[in-house]
Amino acid sequence: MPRLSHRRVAAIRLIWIATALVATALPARAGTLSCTGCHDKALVAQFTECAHAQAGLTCVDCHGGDPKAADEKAAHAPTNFSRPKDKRAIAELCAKCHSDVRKMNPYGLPTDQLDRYKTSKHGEQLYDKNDQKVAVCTDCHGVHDIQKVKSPQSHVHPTHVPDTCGRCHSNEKLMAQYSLPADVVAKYKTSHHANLLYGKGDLSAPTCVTCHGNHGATPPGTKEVGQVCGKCHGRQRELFEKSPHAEPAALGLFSECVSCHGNHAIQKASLDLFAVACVQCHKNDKKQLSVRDAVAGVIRKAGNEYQAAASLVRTATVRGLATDEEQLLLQEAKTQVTQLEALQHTLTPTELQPAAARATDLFRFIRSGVAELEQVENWKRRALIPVWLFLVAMAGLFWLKRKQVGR
Amino acid sequence: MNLNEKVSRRTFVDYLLGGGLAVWAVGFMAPVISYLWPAQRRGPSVQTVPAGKESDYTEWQTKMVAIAGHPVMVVRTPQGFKAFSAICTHLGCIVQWDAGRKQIACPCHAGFFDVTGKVVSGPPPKPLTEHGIAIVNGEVLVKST
Repeated sequence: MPRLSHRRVAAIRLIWIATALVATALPARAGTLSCTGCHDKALVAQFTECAHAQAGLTCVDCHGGDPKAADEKAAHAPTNFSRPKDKRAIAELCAKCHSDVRKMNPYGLPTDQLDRYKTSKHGEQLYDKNDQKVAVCTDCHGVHDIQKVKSPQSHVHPTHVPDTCGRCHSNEKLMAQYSLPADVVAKYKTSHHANLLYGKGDLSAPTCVTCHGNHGATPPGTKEVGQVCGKCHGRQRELFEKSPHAEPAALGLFSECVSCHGNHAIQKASLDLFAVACVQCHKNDKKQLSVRDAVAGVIRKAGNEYQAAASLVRTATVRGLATDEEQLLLQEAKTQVTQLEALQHTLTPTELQPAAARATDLFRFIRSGVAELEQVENWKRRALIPVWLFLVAMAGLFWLKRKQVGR
Repeated sequence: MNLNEKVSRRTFVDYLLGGGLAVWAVGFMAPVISYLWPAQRRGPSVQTVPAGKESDYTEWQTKMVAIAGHPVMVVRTPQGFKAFSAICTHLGCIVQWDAGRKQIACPCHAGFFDVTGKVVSGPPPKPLTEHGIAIVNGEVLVKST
């Protein structure tokens, strides 16, 4: 094989490098980056961080246009460039991909969002009344900064949902047009649910969408939002169905959970609730209020006994007593006491009796167990008396011996 | 020793001191000897807790054991033994095995966990804490952590 001269080798290398540079530059010009020539750099930077850019989408995929075109007019030629003309067009544009099973399958995303959206209040307003003020996909998820729902930066991440909804639902002027209150998000932020979400970082705590739904309407089988509580508080719902309140609630005479617990500003339920909730309907009804007192009395007694038993076991454990068995019993007693709080939804004192009786038995076992441990401990302490006497006697003997040796 | 022989006060004090020192020496040496003596029992109870024989469990059978005052549920799944803290992560109730659903259920607020400890439904915010399992000579041992 003939040897090439140094000049020829250098020329070939240069050609290779030039070809590689052109090859890498071409797709960039043909793709998104050609838009950056004119469009806002910050907007482009925001887009490159978003979930769509990370999935390989470019400006053209949503906006169309011709990124190869040399001038602005040609790039935005109406034949292939489009800007959604209204909110309905935005929903349809997103649905072009998000309703396509083939496109969404690789990401494991559902494809019924648009159909579900049409069943929601937002969707009904938009599709039935052409109301352009209602929320559509981009109002909640963002436009060029869309993130995956699980990303903490996402507008629809649980910690951001209340503020995202609040952008419209805290707007007094806007809400007044629909006769809706504008303080729901502010109220939510004072609630027990919000405390779990923000205070304890519990991402499973309910936000607006948990009860009101997100894309679609409220979940199937619910006539009103109050019934949604049973999605998480299933046991209470089941017990409520057995209560005398179930029938009037089914007749729509009151909202089954909301009437007693409230809704957006819901607080952690306590015995104090009995004092304020029941009298709303049964103010002068002595018979029903005596049922309330009986139910509350059982829970209060068990709660006080639990506190006393827990304190007893804690003190014994701190003293160094082996309270493993008592701790187990205490755990079981806690289960019974917590069950009482759920069982009270039956509003039938006899339904609470088995758990209350079991709790009372457990408290008795705990008290006698701790008393037995203390008895053994006291016996051990008394057994130390001869040891101390021995040590004192030895000290006395050493003193005597020292005296004798000194003589 | 002649019983009629009179014991001097000095000798009596010596006897008492000698006896006392002997008792003290025994008391002092006992823990040293017990430390040097070969171990007769298993080590600290916090390491592992026996949960019965492997052959005692049929598929999907469960058993509760206590580790340091805390209930732990052992379940035999087709994939092997699993053990979880039996304290619900919602409000601390003791969970139970729901044989029909093959899930772990909390009786207080109907929280359900699958056999990997993950929350399936209900209010529990976190999965159940899993405990390690070891099978030694056919005996199921649950680790404390």
